Amino acid sequence: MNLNLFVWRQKRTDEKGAMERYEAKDISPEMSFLEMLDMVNEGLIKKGMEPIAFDHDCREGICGMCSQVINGIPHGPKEKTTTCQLHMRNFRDGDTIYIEPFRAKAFPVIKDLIIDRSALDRIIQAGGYISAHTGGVPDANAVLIPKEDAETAMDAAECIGCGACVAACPNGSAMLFTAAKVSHLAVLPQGKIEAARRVCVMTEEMLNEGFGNCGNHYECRAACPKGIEVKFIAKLNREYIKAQIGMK
Amino acid sequence: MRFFRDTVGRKIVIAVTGQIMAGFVILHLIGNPLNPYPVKLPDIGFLKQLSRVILLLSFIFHALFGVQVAVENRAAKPQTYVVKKRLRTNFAAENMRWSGVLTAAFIIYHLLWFSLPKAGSGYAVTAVYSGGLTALFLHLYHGIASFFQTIGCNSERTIPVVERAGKGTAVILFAGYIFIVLLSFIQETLR
Amino acid sequence: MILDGKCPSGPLHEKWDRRKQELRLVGPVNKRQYKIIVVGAGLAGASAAATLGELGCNVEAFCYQDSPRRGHSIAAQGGINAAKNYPNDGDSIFRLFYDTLKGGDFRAREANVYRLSMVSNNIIDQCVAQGVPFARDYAGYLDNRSFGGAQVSRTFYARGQTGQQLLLGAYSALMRQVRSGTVTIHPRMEMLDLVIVDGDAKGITVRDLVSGDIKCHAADAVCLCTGGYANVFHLSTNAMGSNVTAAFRAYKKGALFANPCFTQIHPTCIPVSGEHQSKLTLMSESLRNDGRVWVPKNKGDKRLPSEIPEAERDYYLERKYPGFGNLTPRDIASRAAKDVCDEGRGVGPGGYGVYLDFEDAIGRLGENTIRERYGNLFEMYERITGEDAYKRPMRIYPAPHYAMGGLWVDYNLQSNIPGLFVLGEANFSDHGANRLGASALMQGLADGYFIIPYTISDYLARTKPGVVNTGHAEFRRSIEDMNASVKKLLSINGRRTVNEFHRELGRIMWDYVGMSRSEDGLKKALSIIPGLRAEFMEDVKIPGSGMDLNQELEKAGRVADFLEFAELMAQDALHRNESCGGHFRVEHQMPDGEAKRDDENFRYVAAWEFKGINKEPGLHKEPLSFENVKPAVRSYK
Repeated sequence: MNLNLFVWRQKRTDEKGAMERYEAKDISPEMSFLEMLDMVNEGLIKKGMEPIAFDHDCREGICGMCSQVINGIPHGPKEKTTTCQLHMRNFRDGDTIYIEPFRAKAFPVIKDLIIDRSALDRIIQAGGYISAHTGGVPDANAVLIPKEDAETAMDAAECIGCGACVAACPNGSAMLFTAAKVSHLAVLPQGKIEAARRVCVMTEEMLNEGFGNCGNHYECRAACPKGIEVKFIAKLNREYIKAQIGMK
Repeated sequence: MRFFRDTVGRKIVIAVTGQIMAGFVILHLIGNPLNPYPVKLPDIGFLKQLSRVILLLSFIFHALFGVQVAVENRAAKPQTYVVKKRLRTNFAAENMRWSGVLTAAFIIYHLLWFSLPKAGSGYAVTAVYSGGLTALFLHLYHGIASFFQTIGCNSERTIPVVERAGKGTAVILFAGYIFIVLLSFIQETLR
Repeated sequence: MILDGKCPSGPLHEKWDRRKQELRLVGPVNKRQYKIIVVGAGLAGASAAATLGELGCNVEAFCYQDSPRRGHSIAAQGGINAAKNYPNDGDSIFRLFYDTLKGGDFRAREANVYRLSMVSNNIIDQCVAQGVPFARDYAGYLDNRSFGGAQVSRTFYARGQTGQQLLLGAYSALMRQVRSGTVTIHPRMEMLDLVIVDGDAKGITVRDLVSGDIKCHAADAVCLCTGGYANVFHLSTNAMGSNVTAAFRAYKKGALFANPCFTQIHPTCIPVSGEHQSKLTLMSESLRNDGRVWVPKNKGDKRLPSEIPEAERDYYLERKYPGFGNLTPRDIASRAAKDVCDEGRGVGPGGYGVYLDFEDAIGRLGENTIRERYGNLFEMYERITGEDAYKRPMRIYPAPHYAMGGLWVDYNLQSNIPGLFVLGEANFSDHGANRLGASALMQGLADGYFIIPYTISDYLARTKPGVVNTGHAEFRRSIEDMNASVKKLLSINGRRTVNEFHRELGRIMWDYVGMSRSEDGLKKALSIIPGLRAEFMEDVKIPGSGMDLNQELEKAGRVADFLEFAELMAQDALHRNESCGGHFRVEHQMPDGEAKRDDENFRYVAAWEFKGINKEPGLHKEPLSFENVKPAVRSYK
C-alpha cells in the first residue's frame, strides 16, 4: 500500500521545526510501523537526504524507547501497543498519517521525533526506590506478601517509562508514571517504610521538572501501552494524604 | 505550608472546596424559593453566617488555586499537536478553566442581580442565566466525579460508577435549575 | 600462550570464600579517591554501578540508550534461576552448578559456575528487598516454575517480564546512587575506544550521540557490561542497538576475545515476514509443551494449513526424535526446522517457518486452558502477525538470541588487561557452549551485585588513584583516532545504505556460521567477509555530519565492527573442529543428531588476540579441568 506521511522535522532543540510531507510506497501490511519508517529512511538516504530521526531499541514493546504521536495518539491507534509493535495492517492504502514527537515542556525535542525524557529518570532519582543496601538483606521468604498485593504491585510495575502518559495528558503531567512507581512500592511491605517520604519528594520533583498537574482526564490511561490503571493515581493521592496526616 | 505548594495538596484543596460549593448547589436547588416544590431547610442564623463564610473561603481558594494550576498546566504543554485525538477525556474536562471563569462571573452576576435593584429585560436575564448554568453544568460534569479520584477514594471498580454518578448529578442539577429559570421566564412573559 | 583463569585452590565450595579472604580491600575513606567507569546499563552494568557507588567509589556510568532503564536485559521473559530449593524438590547449589555446566556442554570453568550457583540465592533476596514483585502463591511465599534443562523448579519469575522487573530493581538502586552523588550517568553516549596507559585500562573514549562530540573519560578501572553480539546475524532477538563495538574495540586494544563462535539460536521465534524485517521476536519456549511442530510433506505446498490433510503433514520432530518429540533440546529443534525449510518445505511468506499447531491441545484441553496457559503469547503473536493462533497454527522459526562467547576474563572477571573488568553477557565465563534458560539474568546480577565489588577492590588496592587524567598523550591519541575514523566513514559517500550491508553480512553469517556449520561453509564465509568489508568502506552512504545526532553514523560504526568481528567468529568456529552446545559442526554429530564433543582435543577456552585487520588472530588456550564432575555426553533422554 501507499501512504502519505506528514512528519515533524526539527534539526535541533533550539531550532524551529515543521511538518514535512513524505510518500511511503509499496508498504507491506506485515511491516511494523518502525519498519515502514526504516523503508522511508532508506529511500531518503539514497536520495542524499537526512533520514527521519526516531528513538527505538528493543522493538518488542518493553524497553520504552520508542515514542511518536501517530495521528494524534501516542503510540498510534492500537490500544495497549507500543509504536514498535504497531503493524501496518492497522492502516489502509492511501491513508494520511501524521507523525509528531511526544510534546511537553519537560520533554524537549532533541531532533525530529527524538525527545529528552531524562526528567522521568530524575523523578525516580528523587525517591522511586527502596533504600536497600546490596547484601545484608533477609531471606526472600522472610517477609510474606499476599498474592493479591504482589499482583497489584506488578500491575503498577509494568510501566515501561516511555512517557506516553505525559504526551497524552492535556496538562503535560507525569502523574501516571509517578503514581505507578509510588503504588508499586507502597503496596509492598518493604516499600511501606519509605512510602510517606517517597510520594512527597517524587510529586515535588515532578513539578520541578516542569510537568503539569493531574486534571483527572485519564488520557494517560487510554494512551498507556501497558494499560496502567488510573486507580494508581488515586492510590498516589491516598498515599499523599496519609503522608500529610502522619498516618501509617 | 508545603501542602499548598504540592501538586496533590493544591488539587485536594481545589477538590474539597469545589465539592463544598457543589454541595451548596444541591442544597440551593432543593431549598430554592422559586422551586415549585421547595424543601424547607432549617434556618439557624449562626449556621447561615458560618456557611456563608465557608462558601466565600471555598470560592476564593478554589479560584486562586484553580487559576494557579491552570497557568502551570498551560506552561507544561507549550506546544500543541498538529493532530490530536481525544481518547477518554471530554469537552467539559478540557475546558474546566473556561467553565470555571464563566461560572465565577455568573455567581457574581447572580449575587448582584439579587442584591441590586433589578435591571434588564426578561430575555437578557434568561439568556445570561442559561449561559451561566451551562458553564456550571460543564464544570460539575467533570468536577463532581473528579473529587473522589483526587482524595484517593477510587478503585478500578468504583471509577466508572463514580464517573457516571458525577455526570448524572450534574445533569440533574442542570435540569432542575434550567427548569426554574424557564418557569420564571414563562411566568414573567405570561404576566 | 597458555592462559590461567586464576581460580582459587581448595574444595569447590570453599573456593569463593578463600578468594574473598585473599582479595585486598580499600578503606572507606580511600574508596572516594577512586573513579570507576561502567559501560552499559543492563543488569550487569546497572547492578555493578549501583553497588560500587554504594561502596563509596566515584562511578561514571555510560549507556547508548536515553535512560539506563532500557538495557536489553529488560526483554528477558522467562525468569531467573536460584538454588533456593523452596519447593523442596531436591535442588541444591551443586545441582544448579551441575545443570549449568552440563547445559554448557562442559566448556565453562567449574569454579566460576559454582560461584554463580552460590550467589544465585543472594540475588533473589536482594531483588525482593528492592521491591521486585516476583510471583507468589496464595500463602504469600515466592512461587517457582520449571525451565528447560532442569528437573527441579528453581526459576523465579515476575509474569512474563522478569528481566524488566529485575532491571528496574537494579535501575532504582542506581538512581538512588545518582541522587546521593556517587554515580554520574551519561546516557546517549557510545563507547568507541578503550584507553590503556602503561598497560592498564585507564579510561574510555565516547561519542556523545546528541552533540556528536568525541570525548575521553579517565578512571582507575573500567567495567564493560555491554552485552552480546547476536546482531552480527543482522536479525536476532537483540535490541536494534545491541552491538559488539565496546567489546571489539577493547579486543583491538589487546583484550582477548574468548569462544566467539558460541552463540545460541532460540527455536521459537516469530518468522521473518519479508525483506523489511528489522528484528525477531521471541516466543516463550514453553509453547512447545502443548504445540505440535509440523511442515507439509510436499515441497512448495501453498495450501492453507487447514486444507492439508493429516496424511500430508510431516510432524518431523516426532518422526525424527520419537523419544523427545516436540520437546527436543533447543539446538536440535532449531537445526531440524532449518533442515526442513532448506528442503523447501517451509511455510509462510519466504518459506522460512514451521507450524506450531495447538489444534490437538485445544481439542484435548479446551481453548480456555490453552488461553490460561499462553494467552499473552497468543496475543503478542496476533499483534505481530495478525493471525489468530487459536484458529490456525502459529508459524515459528529459530533466531539468534544470545552470545555465550565474549571477552576473556579470569576468575576475578578481570580481562588480560589489568584494570579492565568484563561483566554479564559481554564476558565468556559462565555458560560454556550453551546457556540454559533463566541463567542469563542470574549471571548479570551475580557479576554486578556480588562479584565485582570484591574483585575490583583488590585491583584498586594495588593501584594509586587518579594517576592519569585525560590530558595524557594516550587519551589525546585516542580522540584523534576516533575523530579520524568517524571522518573516514562520513567521507565515503557511496551508494549503499548501512542496513544493506548489515543485511548481507547477516545472511552470510546465518548461512555459514549459523546453526549448523561445516568446514566448507566456514571457509566460504571467511573468503567473502573481507570482500564485503572492503565494499563497505568504499560504497557505504552515510548522510549528515558527525557533529549532531546521526543515527546512520551510529549504525555504520557498529556494522563496521560486526564486519570485522564476523571474521573472528568464523575463524573460531572453523578452528573448533568439534560440536558442542550451540556450536554444531556437521562433521561431528551423534547418530541421533546430537552434538559430538571432542574432549581430548578441544577441552579448552579459545581466546583470540588481535594482530591487525586482515591478519589472522593469535590463539591462546585456557585448558579446562574438571575436578568435581566428569564431563558426560550431554543427553536429555
